[in-house]
Amino acid sequence: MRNLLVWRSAFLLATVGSIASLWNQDRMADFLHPRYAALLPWSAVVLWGLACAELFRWRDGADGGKVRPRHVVWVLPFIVFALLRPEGFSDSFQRSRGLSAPSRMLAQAQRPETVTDTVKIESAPDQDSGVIESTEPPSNDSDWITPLRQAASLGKAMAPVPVPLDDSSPSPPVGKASIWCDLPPHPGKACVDTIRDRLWYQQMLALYMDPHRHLGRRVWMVGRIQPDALFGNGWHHVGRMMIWCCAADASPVGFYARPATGAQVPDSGWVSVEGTLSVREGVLPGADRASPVPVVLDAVFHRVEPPRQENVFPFAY
Amino acid sequence: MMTLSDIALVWIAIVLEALPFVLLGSALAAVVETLVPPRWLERALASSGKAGIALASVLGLVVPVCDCAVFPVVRKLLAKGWAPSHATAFLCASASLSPAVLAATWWAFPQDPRIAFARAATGILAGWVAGGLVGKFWGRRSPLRKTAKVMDLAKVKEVPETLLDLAEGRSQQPSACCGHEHGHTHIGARKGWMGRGLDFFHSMADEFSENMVYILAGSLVAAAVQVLVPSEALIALAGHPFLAVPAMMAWGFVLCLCAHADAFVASSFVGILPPGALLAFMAFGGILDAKNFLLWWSSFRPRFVLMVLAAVVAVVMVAGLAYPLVAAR
Repeated sequence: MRNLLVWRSAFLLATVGSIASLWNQDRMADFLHPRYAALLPWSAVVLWGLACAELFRWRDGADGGKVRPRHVVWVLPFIVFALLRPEGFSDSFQRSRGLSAPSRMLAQAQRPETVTDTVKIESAPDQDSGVIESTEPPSNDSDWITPLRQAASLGKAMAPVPVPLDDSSPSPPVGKASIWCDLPPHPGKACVDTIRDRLWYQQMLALYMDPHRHLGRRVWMVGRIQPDALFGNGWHHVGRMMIWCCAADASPVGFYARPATGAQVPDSGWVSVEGTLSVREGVLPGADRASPVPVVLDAVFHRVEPPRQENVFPFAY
Repeated sequence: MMTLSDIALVWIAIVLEALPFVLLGSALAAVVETLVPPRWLERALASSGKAGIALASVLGLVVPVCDCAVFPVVRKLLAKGWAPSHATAFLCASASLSPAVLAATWWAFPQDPRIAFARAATGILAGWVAGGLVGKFWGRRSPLRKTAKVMDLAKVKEVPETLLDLAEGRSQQPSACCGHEHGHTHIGARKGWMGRGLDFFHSMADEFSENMVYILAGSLVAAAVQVLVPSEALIALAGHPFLAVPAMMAWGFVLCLCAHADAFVASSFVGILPPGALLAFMAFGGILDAKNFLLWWSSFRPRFVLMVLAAVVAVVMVAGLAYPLVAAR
């Protein structure tokens, strides 16, 4: 009788764990590359099958009908995850990662191959110097990705293929959204470069690669804000966690921003930020020398709801 | 509280990333358990010697398993009598040789695809050296801890015939298997497709349960280290020319990344760290990381683990230091 109860409990736990993994898939997928997250439902089905097979084993009296903690322990992380309900990386975790990813991007950007690609793109015909304007989100991936590949000046060296995710950030200001506005701006036409979820890495890399080229751009993006005194008091960092594989390698990428005079600045949480791109010399965390860093001046912040997918995934593979 | 939440988040991310591959490895191990006869491997590979080690090190090209999936397969093959030296070579080399891993590495380093070849070569070399070392100093003794439960094929001639009959399904005599009397059914004892199917699932469940305990514990340790120790400390250490390779090996060990994805993380360090350190990060992390180390430690005898670990560390270190010199030519 005791064995029967134990095995039934084990079976129930296994089933609940499997269902929980399915139920939580959206949240879990935020911390895993989508390619791995896509394997979770299949894994849950297999686990459920294993739990059923265990019932047959009890019926057969196999293994002496003994149950050990190891038979059910694999549901433990699901239970911990459900109890703690982590809503995202904490500010302290983000800070412990050093807000350092920009320095890595910078180092990549200074590779000769990448810089060569920039030159190629600048001279490409029929692309209006890589300027693409649109006031509506593109209707399909190719509309969105192809101009990006040219406009973001990355070329083959980085081989970026954005992960096909829904762009889940709050919408940019209607009527003036664009990726890569004309420089210098058209007279009388307000245009704001929006850093979008799907193009995050590519757009940020392009900006970090040659910040002087983008002086004066108006940019708009959504990210988590926290005070950062790299360039002095009153500066903030607005960024998103970028994940290549899973939460283990997450690192923040974003801008240092200085608020406009009189602008209200939240201390933490999700904000949209709009401001003018400029360049400062600074030693980024993890770097051993000063380098030109794109910063946002005259920044205006607004609190926004967290995006459905908080983190960004630069690569599909 | 936030720290706990971060640890839980990183923990579950590592576990979920590994889960499908552990299931795959458990399924392959169950195939070995239910379909490979106990003495077949020994008969097939007993006399292959050093050629067997070489063959086992490149087996990863045709048996594409990553670091999470390879361990259950190797453990089961060892239990079935595969020579420890051959099993070690396969264990160390297979993750680096998986076609998907090589393709990902190639793609992540478009400016230097030679690093994909270097990764494969490092894996093969680690397999050869570790396998050779085990062949010379460990011999054919089983490296598994629980030799009472699994048959040590090195002593197969001393095993009572009734046990082999039972394991091969020729006998149902209940008292011969475990040294005591009871009436349970063992894996391999059932007949017919239905019986084989149940055997497969039971073997897979056993293997999965066994592995997950240690993967959970290893991942928890790795997650705690990642949250509590700022990554910049280790990365800053890696900036030193002589410490870069060992520091990145340690970072690869702690990060517990999937072998299919670690190349992309490594590529984000291009320009900051020397290419040899990136090679060491991928090669060492692909063979052994914190979550797999506990698996090794729990299943293998400590001396065996230390022997293999020393060989792998030495090979990866040399490869990491030598790569810039070779690549410069």
